[in-house]
Amino acid sequence: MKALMSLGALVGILGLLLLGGMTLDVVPSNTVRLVEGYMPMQLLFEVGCYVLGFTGLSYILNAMGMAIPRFWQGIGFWAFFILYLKYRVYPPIPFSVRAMYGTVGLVCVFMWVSANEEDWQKFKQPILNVLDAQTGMNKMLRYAFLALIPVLMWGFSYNAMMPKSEEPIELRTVHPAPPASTKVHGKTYTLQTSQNPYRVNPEGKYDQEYSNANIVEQSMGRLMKPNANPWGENSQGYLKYVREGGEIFFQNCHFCHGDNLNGRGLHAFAFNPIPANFTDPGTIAQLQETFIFWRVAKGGVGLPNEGFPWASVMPPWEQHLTADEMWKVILFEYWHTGYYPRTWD
Amino acid sequence: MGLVARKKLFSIMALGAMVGLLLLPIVMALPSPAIGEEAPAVEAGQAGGGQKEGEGEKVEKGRDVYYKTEGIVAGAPAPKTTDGPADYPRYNFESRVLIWFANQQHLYYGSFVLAVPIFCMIIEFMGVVTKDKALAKKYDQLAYDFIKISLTAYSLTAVLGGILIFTFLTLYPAFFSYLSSIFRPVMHIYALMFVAESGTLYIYYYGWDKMKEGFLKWIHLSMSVILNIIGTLLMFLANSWIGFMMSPAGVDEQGRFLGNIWHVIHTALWNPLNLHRILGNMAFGGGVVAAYAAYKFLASKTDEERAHYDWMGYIAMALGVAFLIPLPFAGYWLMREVYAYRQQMGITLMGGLLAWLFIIQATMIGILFLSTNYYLWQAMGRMRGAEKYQRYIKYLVFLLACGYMVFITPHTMVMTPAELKAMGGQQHPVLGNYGVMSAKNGGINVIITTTVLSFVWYMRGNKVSTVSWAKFGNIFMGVFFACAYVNIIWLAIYGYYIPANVRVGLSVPQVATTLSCLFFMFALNSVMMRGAKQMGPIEWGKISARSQYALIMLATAFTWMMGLMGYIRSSVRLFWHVNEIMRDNSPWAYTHTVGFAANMISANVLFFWISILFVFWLGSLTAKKAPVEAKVGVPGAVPQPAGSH
Amino acid sequence: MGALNNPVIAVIVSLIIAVGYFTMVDHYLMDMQGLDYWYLFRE
Repeated sequence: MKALMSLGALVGILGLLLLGGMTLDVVPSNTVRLVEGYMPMQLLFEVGCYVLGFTGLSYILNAMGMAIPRFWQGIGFWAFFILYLKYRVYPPIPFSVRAMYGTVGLVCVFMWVSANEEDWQKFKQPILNVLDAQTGMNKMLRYAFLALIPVLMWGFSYNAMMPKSEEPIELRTVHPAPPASTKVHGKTYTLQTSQNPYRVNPEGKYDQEYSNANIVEQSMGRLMKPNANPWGENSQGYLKYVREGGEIFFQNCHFCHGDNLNGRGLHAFAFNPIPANFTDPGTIAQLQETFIFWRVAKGGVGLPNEGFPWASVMPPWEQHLTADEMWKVILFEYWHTGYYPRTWD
Repeated sequence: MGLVARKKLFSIMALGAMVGLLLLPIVMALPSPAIGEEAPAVEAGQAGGGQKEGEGEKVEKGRDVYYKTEGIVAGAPAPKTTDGPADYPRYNFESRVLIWFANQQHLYYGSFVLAVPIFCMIIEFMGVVTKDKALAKKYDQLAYDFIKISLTAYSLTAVLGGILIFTFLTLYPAFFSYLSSIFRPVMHIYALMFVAESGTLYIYYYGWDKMKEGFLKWIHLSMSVILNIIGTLLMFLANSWIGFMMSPAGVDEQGRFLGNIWHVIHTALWNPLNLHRILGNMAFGGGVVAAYAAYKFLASKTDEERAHYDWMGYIAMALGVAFLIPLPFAGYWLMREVYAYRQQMGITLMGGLLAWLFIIQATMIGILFLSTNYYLWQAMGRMRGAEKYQRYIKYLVFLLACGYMVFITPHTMVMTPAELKAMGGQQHPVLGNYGVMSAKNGGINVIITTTVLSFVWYMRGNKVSTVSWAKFGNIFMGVFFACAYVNIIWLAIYGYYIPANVRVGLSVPQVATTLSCLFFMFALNSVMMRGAKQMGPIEWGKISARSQYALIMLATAFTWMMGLMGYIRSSVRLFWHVNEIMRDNSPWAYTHTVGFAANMISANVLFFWISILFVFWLGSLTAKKAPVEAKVGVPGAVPQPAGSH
Repeated sequence: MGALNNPVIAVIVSLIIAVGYFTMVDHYLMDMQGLDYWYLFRE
């Protein structure tokens, strides 16, 4: 038990040192890398390790007679959590989300320290001591708070009232609801039922299973399947269309959406917001193919009312491409990112 | 002897009368299709001027927008309104806000008075079947307390319903006359059922003392069943109106009624709405009663009172949570049906315009479960022997926190353009993954499983199992819970690697895992705790004040969430009165900003709580007059109630 | 019963039951929806 706890304590100290380094900018925050594809779980796992480490640390300190008071445990853990979110995670998390997490953290720390009466007494005691001010130290502290709290309040109000030069926050609807049907080059497509005419099996029938089996591997660096190279000598059917789509993509789309389809093209950073990142699981991976078709065809100007403030400069591609070409580009995008279009059955 | 027999006869007659009242609307409804078929002759004649084909004797046919069946046109088309005093008369104020307020208050009270009799029925039944005399009496008293609260609220519901109808008639006459032309028979049945409900409720309440023994008690209990059947049917009928507004059926494209009233009632979303609302009402009712108990607990001056209200709060909370746990699943069903009905509507809800509101909803759901867990941990303070679990609570907090944070991570984050640039895109590479359904399902299931675990700990708090396989049982429970967590998290991760149409299916085994924990572990626990050694009694009333605030928090969160979800459900129609049939041409056909909606919901919640405090106060006035004969308060002697139910 | 009260055996037996049970839950509930739980592994 003791050995286990010592190990935990070691993990805790190491973690704290690492985080301290990141906070003070001595250690870059990508020292411990976030591995693509595993990041969400990695993050939770890391925080879990920290918690276990702290448990070990507090156990060992307790055994050595240097127990940290409950009050400081609570405050300390919360401070750790805030610092972790701010300095460990990269790219930086927006303030709104950090504020949400921080609040949840605070509530959870409160739930922890007040879960039973004894702990709650221990936690409250330092606060009550300061309020009672029986000792000189506490009296000093109380006066300090008397001065500090108004100053803090003043600071907050000053900060809130001061005019800012930042652009205001926009609550943008990234995927507005599509219309029931859309008309492209004189043909009406019902979004719920239309299909990509090029997502076909060797027999020429629409077949998502078949095409899914031929897309690149999602995890670990996007590898092509052995017998599914669209640029191979004798690629036919689906794979041939993927190749054609790829050619159209690199003639038209990649300037903005990037050669890796990650929205980091040559011109990407001239736009605000930057173009859609297709490798993100939140874009094409969760949309129907017909939704993409509609967006490609109608572009930024064709966004519906709820797409306010229509912050998209994508041209309506129906003016430049045929419907077939657009379907092929979409085919290529799914193939390259290794995602499957959403279906409803 | 003769007296008893007469009483029996009389009570059976009363019950028969109630059943008769219940059947009356159905009898009334039988000729109603016939009436509906007569009507077109008159109405077609009136509307004939505007329709080319409507002239002459030719019977006009229309196609059902949802069921795709042919039917004889039997009503006028939906009016095309224009903005003006004829269709939208108004005060110098936004009519939509007025109708919103009236609707919401009516719904709050309506769901409260529908839920409380269901609790009454359950608790009264528990009282009847319990062998322990003292406990039985206590249950009975509790049920009586419940119905007493709901009685004043009942009349307030009716008053608010009246206000709602008047608001509709005065501010939205064109819309309301269209709706009532379609639902004419349903509205009459509704009114009649309301009469039946009132009659039953009053007999049920005032007959309580007269019918408290033996056979009469069973009659009384069956009355509560009838009362609840009527109440539930009432709600179903009211749901058919909103179901029709969201997903119309039984009319053609112009909104003309096609003669089949069942199609109009049984729309695509009717049944999911029914289920969701029943469960929601129960959870809400439990929350309100728990808040009432908490308020009384905090205000009580004697230990006896404190014990009673502590117990009442616990029961109400347990009932509320019991219905809260299946609620998300009913919500998934509703959402699935919404997607099946119109994908557009589903996207507007979950991914588009209203997605921000769903983040707030997730936050509220999390608060509900967090408060529940917190209350249970506090409640372990009132029994000796629960100390052994205290030191593990921090790990439960950690699990809850992780689940909660994943659950509330927005898919699209609120950020300044500067932050957007720093992040390099709309999606955060780490947190963006928490924003999708797969991770969120994992999060909420972890939270619910943890709640189940807290319940299990609470139920075995002061007991030590004495069965011969106790050790194995404990280990098995631990392993089972651990595997459940692993399975939930594994399925959440797995969802990222498989296509969307397979992924949506993963939520079913996830839910099944959570429910397995709930049912198997509760069952196993109660088997293990049979004849267990008690470390000490449950000392009712010896609970921290913080726990009571948690109950109040729970109730407030319920109320707020109900307001929010109602708003979401209603505003998903966007600029339609009746989706795709009747357009809203008033100046208020736009969607409110998130901030305005949140303020409006808060105002509604505040008004509800102030008014219900008044109702509670009225209840306490009668309590002072009534003789305090049934107050049994020997808390120490009471073995653990409800825990095993 | 005696053997089951040995912690190691108890853990092993519990693990077998729990893992087996949850695998069955995953498999059959996906199967009921006409979906394949082992999708990723069959490729």
